[in-house]
Amino acid sequence: MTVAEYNLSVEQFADNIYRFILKNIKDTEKAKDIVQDTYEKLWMRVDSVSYEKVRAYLFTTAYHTMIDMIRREKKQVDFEQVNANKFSHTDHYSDVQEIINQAIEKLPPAQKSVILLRDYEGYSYDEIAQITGLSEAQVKVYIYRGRMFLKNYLVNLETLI
Amino acid sequence: MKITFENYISIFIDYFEGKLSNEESIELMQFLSSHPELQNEFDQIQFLFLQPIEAEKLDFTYLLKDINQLNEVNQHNFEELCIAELEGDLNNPVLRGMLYQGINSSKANLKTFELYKQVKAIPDKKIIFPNKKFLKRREKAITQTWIYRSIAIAASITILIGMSIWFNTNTKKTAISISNPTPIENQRVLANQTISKERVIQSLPSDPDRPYKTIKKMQNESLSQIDTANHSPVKSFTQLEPLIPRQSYVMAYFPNREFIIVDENILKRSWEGDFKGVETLTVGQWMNDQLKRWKNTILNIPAEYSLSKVVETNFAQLSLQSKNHVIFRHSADTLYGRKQVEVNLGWVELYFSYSTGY
Repeated sequence: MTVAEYNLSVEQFADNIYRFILKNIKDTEKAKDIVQDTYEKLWMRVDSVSYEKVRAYLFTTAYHTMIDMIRREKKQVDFEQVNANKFSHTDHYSDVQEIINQAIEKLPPAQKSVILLRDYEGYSYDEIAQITGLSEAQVKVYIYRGRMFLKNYLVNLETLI
Repeated sequence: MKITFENYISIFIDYFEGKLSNEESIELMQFLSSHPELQNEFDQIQFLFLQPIEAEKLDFTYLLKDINQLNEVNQHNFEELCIAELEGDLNNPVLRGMLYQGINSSKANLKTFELYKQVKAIPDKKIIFPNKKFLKRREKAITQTWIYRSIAIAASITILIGMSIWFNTNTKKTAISISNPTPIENQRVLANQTISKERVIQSLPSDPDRPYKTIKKMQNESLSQIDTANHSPVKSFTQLEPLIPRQSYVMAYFPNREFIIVDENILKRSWEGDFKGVETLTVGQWMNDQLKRWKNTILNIPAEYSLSKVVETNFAQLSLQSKNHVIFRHSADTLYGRKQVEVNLGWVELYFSYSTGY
């Protein structure tokens, strides 16, 4: 990959990766760090990564960097507890997408990641499997389970309202 | 190996556990042929050991089901089929027809299907990565840039040489003036005010219970090591604030330690080939050298932990590869092009500040 292609990959994918990571970890500074680390790693392997495969490489690297970070932090703090306290809110929801965003936060991490890769980036089961290191069947199961959870979340909320 | 009627059972077991050598196995077989009455016992022991199936690899793929193979739509599979349809997994036209019949057969089913249509995450395009320019790399520098950079570096070197001369001529005087120093914590000292090595040592913490006591123990040795670094001796110790803009240098700063070690030699670093052939330290190399040198002295990091390695890709990009517990933060202060790397080791924080110099 040339320097120009590398810079093009920054233009094309930095926002998408940032969005994906931010949605997963909800911390802008850490999300920025992960994006920066990801491109740092890409730059170190710039000669061996082709431009055609750079998108998959970036998402794979970012995903695993994020997982590593979450694992590290779990040793220090109960992430789920922080997550629930820090990001829950009691405001009224303005639209369905906002409810879905809230529901996505409640998905288990693996389901959340595959759903986001599917919906945000339109990746196939096979591509998601390569990025996350899961099997294709696992990815499919997670997506189906995630969809059911999101749908049920909408139904339950409607019932409450 | 001697096989007797007292030990033959344990030898049978060793045989099936694969512990016998070829010669011992042959010996055992000879023993068995001499004592055929033990053959039955030998066979029974054999069944105690499960033999792994090596040749045959079990294939359970026949258990996998394709949703398109379903031949009916019922309340148990309705939702799964809805998801499959919306995910584009359903390609059996008969099944799809049945599914849509099911969807339209009741309001509840229709509502369920509509709900599934809605459960898609839509990215917020307003969220963008800030400062993408910091991620980008320069292509081959154009001649004009090279000229400006050369001038900037030459000017920086000139300034530093001037400062060095000034320091050398004023060190003695300053050292005398602070021969009985007051604690300099909370004390603001003008930039570039020269202080002697003695003062640096005196400013080290005196409380033995503080986690920095190692520094006190190692002060002479560590400073001596720093003075005799690979390159020219450290010429001065200065206060951190304020940084001098547009001047190239790298510093290490120990909070509450009140001293900074300035290494001027890294000015002449290689920057993406612009200084090709010039053997000089890079910012990252210098930091790695310092961290390595301080690991067992000032920082007192246990041997089983490895340090983060400073990774340098170009003059403006610097990061640390994090290993084990060594945490880092890399922040960029665009004012004056100053960069700062903070290494938080848990018990001591180490800052590296550097400016790009142009």
